Amino acid sequence: MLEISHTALLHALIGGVLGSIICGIIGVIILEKRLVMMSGGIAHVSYGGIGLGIYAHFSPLIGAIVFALAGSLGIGHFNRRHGEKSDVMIGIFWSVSMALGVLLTQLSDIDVDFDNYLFGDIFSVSKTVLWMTFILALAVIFIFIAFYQTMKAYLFDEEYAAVQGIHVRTLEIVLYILLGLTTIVILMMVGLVLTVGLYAAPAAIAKRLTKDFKKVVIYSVIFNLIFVIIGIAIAYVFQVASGAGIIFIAGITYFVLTFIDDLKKRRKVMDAESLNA
Amino acid sequence: MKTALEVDHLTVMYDHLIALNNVSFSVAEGDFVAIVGPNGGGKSTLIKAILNLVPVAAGNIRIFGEDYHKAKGFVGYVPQQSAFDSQFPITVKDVVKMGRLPSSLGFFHRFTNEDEEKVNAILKELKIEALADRPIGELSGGQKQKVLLARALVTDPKLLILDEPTANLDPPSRKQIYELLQEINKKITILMISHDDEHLLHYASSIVYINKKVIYQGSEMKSFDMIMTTV
Ligand SMILES: Nc1ncnc2c1ncn2[C@@H]1O[C@H](COP(=O)(O)OP(=O)(O)OP(=O)(O)O)[C@@H](O)[C@H]1O
Ligand SMILES: [Mg+2]
Repeated sequence: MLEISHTALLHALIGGVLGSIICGIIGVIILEKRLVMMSGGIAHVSYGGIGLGIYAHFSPLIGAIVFALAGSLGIGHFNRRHGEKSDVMIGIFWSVSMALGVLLTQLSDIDVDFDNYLFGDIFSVSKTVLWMTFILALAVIFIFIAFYQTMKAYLFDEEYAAVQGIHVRTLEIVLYILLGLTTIVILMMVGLVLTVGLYAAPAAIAKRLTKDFKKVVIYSVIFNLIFVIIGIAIAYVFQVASGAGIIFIAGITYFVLTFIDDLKKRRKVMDAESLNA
Repeated sequence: MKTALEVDHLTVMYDHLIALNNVSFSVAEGDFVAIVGPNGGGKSTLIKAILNLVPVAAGNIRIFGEDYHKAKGFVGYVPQQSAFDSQFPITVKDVVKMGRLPSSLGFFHRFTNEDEEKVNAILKELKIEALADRPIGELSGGQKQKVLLARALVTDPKLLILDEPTANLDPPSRKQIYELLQEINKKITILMISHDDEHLLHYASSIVYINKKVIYQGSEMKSFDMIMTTV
């Protein structure tokens, strides 16, 4: 890796902070709706668009956005129509799109550094991506606050929300669009392979710490920020892929907290036993 | 007496499977009607059709003479416990409050003092006010059921629809729920699915036995075995 300039570091930090806010909020939604694996799928699907862009000489970013949106709306549609049975179909769909991306990239006349797409390179984010991230962050915050009550109802009990006449289909489509766009932002920060970790780990940690939905979201954003900033520091100092640093810290924190939680529970059980003795 | 619910030649299909075939029955205002029948007989499907959750292949459903979109404000629904995520980080009070959300996207929706008072009143009525600030995931099955009941009642419905509210409850909690429903039935029409033979015969005013079609409807309280031997 080349020496990283101060501008690149600044861009990385701005992108990281904005991206953390987005991921922190969307991550909680993904966790509650059990869309973790689906979000991983979208990341893979979007690689097809990147490959197409490289091969056909248009912006890989645009390709990625189009494929990610088509992927998230498409996978969402399958999920609703076929439920559990959609698993295999979605799995095949995403690897085919990924394969398409690899094929096209290798067939193209441009030499591409795969590592950046697979593991993320936050130091090379373009101004365009930064702007996109900024607008997406505003959109996510606005939508989340504006539809907070109905979104919460939809996440908790979709069927009941529908019975009440809450427009769950509209919420769902908005959610899938945000999910598609968010995937692109994460892709840029941590890369394809590590996407699932950044969505799931901070939200899962937050959920362990509180039983209040609003706080879960706030903690999730805070943990995202911590992991991303530490990850960027690690990547900067050791000249390694930003994604690896971020996910490594996130994963370790998750497992340590899980371990402490288990210890606490075990101690409670032991205390109870010694009281009985 | 007014008709609370009118199901008229209803047919519901899932792809090629006919779940309900030409089902007709009605519920008069003030009734306590129990829907019974074998597993897979289409009981939950019937409720979902009434609540506009599954498409209707043929037939007509009227609630107090209106279609669902006009009548949804009159309807309270208690789903099967498995229908929601019990690990969701939310307190009892907030679950009940959700019952009062508007039927829309709720753009910048805020709950009013009236909502708050209504929620407190219903928690008190069901004697679960002590649970108000507990996370829903920490409750017992019977307590959860009462919370779902409170969420349905918080809008003052005229027709209460329940899908197996006593499944997985122990006999005392089961009896408690039935006694609660009997009390509620003084003001509200009830339509419920259940497998509790002996309780239903005691509390319900009539039963509808469904196995893809209506096999028996009546207020003559027969046990299921008797229904099966007479048809
Ligand atoms: N979403 C669905 N897609 C396809 N088939 C379904 C769906 N839901 C139910 N069915 C089928 O429709 C039939 C009726 O199911 P339903 O759930 O209404 O039965 P039920 O009377 O409520 O049974 P139980 O007593 O077990 O709750 C069953 O054969 C079931 O397999
Ligand atoms: Mg059922």
